Amino acid sequence: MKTFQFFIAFFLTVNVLQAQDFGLYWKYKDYDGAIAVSVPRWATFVGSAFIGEKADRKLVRKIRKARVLFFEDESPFTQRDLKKFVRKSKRRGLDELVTVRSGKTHVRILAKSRNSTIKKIVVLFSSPDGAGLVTVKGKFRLDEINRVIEKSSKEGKKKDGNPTIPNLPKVPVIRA
Amino acid sequence: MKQLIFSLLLLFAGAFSASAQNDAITRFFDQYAEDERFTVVYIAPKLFQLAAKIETDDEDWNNIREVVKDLGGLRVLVADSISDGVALYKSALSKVPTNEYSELLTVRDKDEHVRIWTKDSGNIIEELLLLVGKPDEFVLLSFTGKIDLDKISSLAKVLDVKGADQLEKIKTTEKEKVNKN
Repeated sequence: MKTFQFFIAFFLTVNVLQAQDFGLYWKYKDYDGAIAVSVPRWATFVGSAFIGEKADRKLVRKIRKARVLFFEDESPFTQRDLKKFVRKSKRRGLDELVTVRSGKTHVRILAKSRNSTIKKIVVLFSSPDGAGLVTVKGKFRLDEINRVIEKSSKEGKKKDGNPTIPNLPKVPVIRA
Repeated sequence: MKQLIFSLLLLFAGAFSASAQNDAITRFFDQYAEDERFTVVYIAPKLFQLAAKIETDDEDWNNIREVVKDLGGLRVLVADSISDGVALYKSALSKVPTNEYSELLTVRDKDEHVRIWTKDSGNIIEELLLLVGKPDEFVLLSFTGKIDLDKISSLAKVLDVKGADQLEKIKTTEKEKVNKN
């Protein structure tokens, strides 16, 4: 009986996890050249300790789970996969926010929101330099996101008005 | 019974022709959606709805928020290093259903052509279409939703899209109208 219960629990967990990225992450994460990273909540919490700015740290701590799938070469995603992905994501409450195509670069941003809170952001991109999928789950209030964007855009401008690359937080890398 | 069938047919025909007219612009967007000479941007209504919920002390943003909250969507098709910008402008111009849209502004300055149309129902402007054609540049921009002409020009500052600065001309036209009256 215990084996059966464990099997049911395992089956449900696997299905729930797969549903988060609508199959695309799981289908391609083991492909040749794929860089797949899944960041659990505790890791973002530990990483946030190295962020100096309080507002940024607060926002990072709200990440429940982040997943990144990156390909250095061309996008392996087929048109069929993408159509299926968009169809499934719409069915699961994600709304398409922005679609941009410039030259060979495609960017698609989808989000799941409730009232003034964003619960999930999915970014799908492909360009000649690389392609991938970024999924971030959490509870992000719009005004918090806006505050961070405003701050970085103010900091990102030099006195002459030209934008600069913002300083990235230093995160220690532990090598095995 | 005959009357019912006839009125149903009329209703279907009306609905079909309206959607066919609107499709002409959509088809033009779709035609160049995968053309690498063009940059295509689509901002969904959801993003405008979310943006309208952001509360800040910034006065500029609070003014823009009033415009943004009623916007339904934005589609932009831009090409800035082409050689047939004017030909594309003329091609797009021929596809605009002039019986459905009313012309708001026309500017021709040497090689630069600018046209702005609006589509309205009653007192509400439902769509704003901007078309810019220069020998090396082409812009097609379509706003949908409830559009306030007095305030839409303020979006020109926020939108970092080529050709969006032409929206400033609406403000000038509106001012000229007021001065004439």
